[in-house]
Amino acid sequence: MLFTDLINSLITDTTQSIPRFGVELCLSATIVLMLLMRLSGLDRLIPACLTATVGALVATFLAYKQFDALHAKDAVVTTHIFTGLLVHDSFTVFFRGFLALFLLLTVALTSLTGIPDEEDSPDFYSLLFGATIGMMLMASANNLLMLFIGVEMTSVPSYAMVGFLKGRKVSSEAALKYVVYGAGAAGVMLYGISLVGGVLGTTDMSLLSQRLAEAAAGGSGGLKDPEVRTVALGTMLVMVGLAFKLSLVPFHFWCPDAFEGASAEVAGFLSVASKAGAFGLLVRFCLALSGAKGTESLMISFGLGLGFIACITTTFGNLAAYTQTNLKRLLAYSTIAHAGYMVMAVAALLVLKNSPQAATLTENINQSIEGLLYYLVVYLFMNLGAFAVIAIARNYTFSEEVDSFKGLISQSPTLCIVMLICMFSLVGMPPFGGFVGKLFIFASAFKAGEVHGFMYVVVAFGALNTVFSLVYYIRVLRTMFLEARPADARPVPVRLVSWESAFVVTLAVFVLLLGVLPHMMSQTANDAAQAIAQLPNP
Amino acid sequence: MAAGLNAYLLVGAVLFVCGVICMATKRNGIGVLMGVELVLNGANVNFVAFSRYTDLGLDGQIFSLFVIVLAAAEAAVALAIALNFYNNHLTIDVDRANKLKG
Amino acid sequence: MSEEIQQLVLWLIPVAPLASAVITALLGPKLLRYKSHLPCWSALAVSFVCSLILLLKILPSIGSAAVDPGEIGTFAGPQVLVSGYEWLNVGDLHANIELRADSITAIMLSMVTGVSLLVSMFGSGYMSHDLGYPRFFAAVSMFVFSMCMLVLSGSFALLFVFWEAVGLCSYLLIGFWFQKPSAAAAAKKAFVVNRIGDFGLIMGIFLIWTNFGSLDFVTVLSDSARIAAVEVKNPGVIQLICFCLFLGAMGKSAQFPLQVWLPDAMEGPTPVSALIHAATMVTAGVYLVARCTPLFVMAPNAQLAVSAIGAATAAIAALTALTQMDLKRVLAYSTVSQLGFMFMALGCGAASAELVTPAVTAGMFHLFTHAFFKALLFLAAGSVMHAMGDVIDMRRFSGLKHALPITHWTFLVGAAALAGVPLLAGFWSKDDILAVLAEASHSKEHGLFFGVIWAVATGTAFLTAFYTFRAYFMTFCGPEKFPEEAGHHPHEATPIMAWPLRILAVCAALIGLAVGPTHLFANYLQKTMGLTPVPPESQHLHWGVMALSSVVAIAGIGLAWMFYVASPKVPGAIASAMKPLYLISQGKFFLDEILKALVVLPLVGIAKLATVFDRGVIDCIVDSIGAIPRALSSIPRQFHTGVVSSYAGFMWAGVVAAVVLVLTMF
Repeated sequence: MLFTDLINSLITDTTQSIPRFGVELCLSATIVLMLLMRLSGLDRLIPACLTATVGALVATFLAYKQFDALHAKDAVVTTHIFTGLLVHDSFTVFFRGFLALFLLLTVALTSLTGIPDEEDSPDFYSLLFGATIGMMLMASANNLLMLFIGVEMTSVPSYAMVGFLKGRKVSSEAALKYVVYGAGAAGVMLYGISLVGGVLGTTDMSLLSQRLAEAAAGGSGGLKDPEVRTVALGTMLVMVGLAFKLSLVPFHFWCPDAFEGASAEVAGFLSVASKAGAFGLLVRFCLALSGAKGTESLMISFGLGLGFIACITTTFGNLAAYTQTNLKRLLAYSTIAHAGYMVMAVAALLVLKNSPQAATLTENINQSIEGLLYYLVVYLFMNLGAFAVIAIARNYTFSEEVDSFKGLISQSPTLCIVMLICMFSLVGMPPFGGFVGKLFIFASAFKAGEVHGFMYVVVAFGALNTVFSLVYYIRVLRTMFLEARPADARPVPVRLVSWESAFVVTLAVFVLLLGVLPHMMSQTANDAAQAIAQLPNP
Repeated sequence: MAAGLNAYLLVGAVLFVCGVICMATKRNGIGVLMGVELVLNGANVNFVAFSRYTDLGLDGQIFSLFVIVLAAAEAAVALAIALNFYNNHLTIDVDRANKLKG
Repeated sequence: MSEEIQQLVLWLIPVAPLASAVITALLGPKLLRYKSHLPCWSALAVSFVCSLILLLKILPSIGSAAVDPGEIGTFAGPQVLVSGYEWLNVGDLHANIELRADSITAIMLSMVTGVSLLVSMFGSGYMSHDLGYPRFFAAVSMFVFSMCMLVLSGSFALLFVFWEAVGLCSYLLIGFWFQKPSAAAAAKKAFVVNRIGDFGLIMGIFLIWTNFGSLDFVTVLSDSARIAAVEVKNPGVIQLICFCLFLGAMGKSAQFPLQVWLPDAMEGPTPVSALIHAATMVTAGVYLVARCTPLFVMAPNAQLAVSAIGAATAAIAALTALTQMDLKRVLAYSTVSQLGFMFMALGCGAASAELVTPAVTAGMFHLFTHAFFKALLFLAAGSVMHAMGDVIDMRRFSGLKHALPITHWTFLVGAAALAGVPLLAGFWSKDDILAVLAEASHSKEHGLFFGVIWAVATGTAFLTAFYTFRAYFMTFCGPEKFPEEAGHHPHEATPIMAWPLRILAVCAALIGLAVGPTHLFANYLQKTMGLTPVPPESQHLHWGVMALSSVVAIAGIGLAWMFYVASPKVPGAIASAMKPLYLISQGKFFLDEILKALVVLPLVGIAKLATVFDRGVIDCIVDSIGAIPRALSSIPRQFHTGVVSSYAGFMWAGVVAAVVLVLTMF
């Protein structure tokens, strides 16, 4: 190939790719703008939270335009952009929209609660935007290199954000713990990537399954083949890295400590966004390795392994949450439990997709991904809602202990009712969104039970845990609603007509709407699922 | 006689295991971070070796370059956090980070 | 009218009150305060107008389009409008929220929304100084929403949800003044007694689910062959289902022996008593039995039980009402008694198959007219109470007809309608019931049974006229007397309270005449799913029964006049002459006490015994069970020592386990 041809093809590729990459570019531009404003001292005139809000708004608008087009059939054609490093399909667009919206909501929350202070805010928002771009890359990765870059780009700013509360001992401790384990997990993951990519001779994820099938067919054949085994080992190590990001047992230890040490806003961001990005990546990675001839049983075992981890994780998270007294820590354990529920969907996906009857199960395969996406969307609203209530109340009481919420109903009924909606949704009660999400996931896991009986056990664990989790959420609600506000407690006068209330009520309304009108989102989620599984519904 | 792929992979594996053991046993924060570097470089050796011996080709080399850059970024942030911890606790013994528990 | 507009109208009926409930609950305490009635009024007006459109425009138009001569005589009624929303569709689970309107629904909806609109107007005057003003209107809106959904439900599942929801609203409103211990106790009593009924309902629904495989009204009720097939497969099961459903109806509609909660429910604000505990919610049981007619047709024994319980309730409640001194309690017992009338009629289908439709028609017609005059009577009683400074004991006031002229004449119209004075609303519907019972008594099989029921009904009609006018004469006639709480010049109802009274009075006077003898009501209702339309030639007026019931009503009123106006000494003399009987009636047949002796005391005894056992054995077990989550919870927490190296230990152990697993898996 001539050099000029190469240049030409690069130019065409880039010019085609850039329009599809608009959201990420917009976020990057905002980062650069904020840093430049800081250099030139402009940030004293225009507060950084304003710049950040505008940037996030534009990005959300761009993402929404792409997202809105999803409703039209075949509007998003699966394209590989940037020489195949990234892939642009309905799944990417779904996550981009999701993450952009979440970024906007987080920026709005931080502007409302005044964390970070004015001095630090350009740095904080740069980190926040950078992490979001990383998550978008994770969700659209089509190459092992992008997988790793995405994970790192998410993690490194997250470490810094956890330690952002300067001069607080717990904050620095939380950040240190997070970075030590995070770096270790990233290293393990990278080693796994080197094995997978090296043995299969490619880093392009769309080629992995084909190469794996070739490896299984050649050599000593089948699963005994050392190459296949090495790939299995590498896959396992990559899963370890992702399990760390998803805070699955036994790689969850960082999560409660980091959340307790970080501010509620950061904890809310990490609990939703970094999980979402990691789930997007996990689904892509699992699908990339699925369906290779000769290795189906291996992938089903991976699916069952994930199911087993999911059971342990939900049980562990719910049990540990039972006796917590710090609300952020309680929600951190609840986050762990919820990651467990969502992993059940991925386990179901792996089991269904690699079963011998996969061809007849397309609808169920799509449904498992749809359930995961739906749950993520509901989780965004309900978990952010809960963390937002904590953050707002903290600004008045300077405490995040459950006891500081005693009898809050008498002073801020709005906050309490939003908390009630969010927590009932987290439990999975109808008619809130959490119920619908759980139902989708359990239904697909139940279907996977037809392929392997162990998945029935997984569903049973999920159902039992749902019941058990009610106990500790109710305990918080009882404190807020039924106990008397102590006379010496600091007042929390959040009025109904205020920005804070408007923010949390909006979140609660979405939680409710997603429960009452599931079609609003489930069809879009199903389209995204069909695009990534490359299995149109019959 | 040129060393084969397996020899390089072995070096990579040894580096990886050394790094893991270092991370697991060191109580000094900087020491743990050094363990991370060992693990990352173990992976780098793998990438470069694979690029020489399999059809991974130049992708492997590019990969290791990116890893070096990312490792530097990560180290920078990690060191900043370690410094912050030191400012608050006057030690970088990671076992002294035990306020958050339960 | 286009399909979309029809669906919109149907949805607006429940959604408007729901929106009002949410708005009032959120904005009421801070923003709306004493303007909280505005959302409620407008929402109920919207609902009412939509219900009328449904009643007068949409259903008739569908009916005329869908009437197929071949279909008359089958169960699939022509007047049906369905509006479904597919909520969830996961795997084999199809959860739909389906609104379903046919004739009976449209009639119930118009009645419910119309009466509640008037009551809410009255309420804004009545409650005007209450601190809980926004709470009142939020709860009333919520109640109307639940009640509309209850009658609009297209399946037993949804019906049960809103059956419970109306119960909850009723509980909240009985205990509206929760600071009063008696109100709190009454709310608790209503709650507990209703649970017994709900248990029956849920068992019935469960049996339907297991036997029919569906809870959809259309699937379960529209196909008589299918019901027969179920009966053949499991003999007796339909009867069991009917008894269970009727137990549910007994709880909600306060039938003997579950009627004890209703008189106590008068602790709530009077507009609430008018709306929930007289006109609307308590009729839900009647609606349920009428709706399930196709099931009851297959279970004659259940129908006989319905009639018998209805008759017993009617008689006992009427006898109790004779001696009550509390005006609202007289009305409460009369409500129980009239509900008994409705059930008496509903059971008549057991006599012969031709009687099923007239029986349901008679029961529903009485439900319909009763709503108007009973709401009127309660509101008028509320107006009296308002003027008398919340005194409601009839011994403490009298001769109010000059002080409260509007209240006086509206109450008189309501009382006359309840007593069955010819041409007023209650006359026509009670006459229908008596006629159906008379016809049933001619049947071969159960002739004697229905003969007795008919006699009880006639006697009760006489008692009704007597006790109603006893209350009227004691309150409005005689020497003028006010309690000191009222001040010197009792004030007549304000215009916002007076106008609902006037409108209801006109309805109570004319609505029976308008739709009864013209057969409008009967012809409309008979297009309900599950009913067989009666051919027009067999519809006729029952002159004999009419004459008899007129005589009975006049006699009752005359006797009341004699006792309480002409010679006021007589009642005292009779009371002392028949002291035991008087005491029985005064003591409400000691049902509360009997219930206490038969149910509560043994339970308390058992409870005492159980406490001993409990302290010793169960507590230990429960404590240890309760400690399990706590103990379990300490296990994961023990891993979280906060020490980095121990965390790292677990993590690396995890990695090693993963590696070993992969290497040894094959």
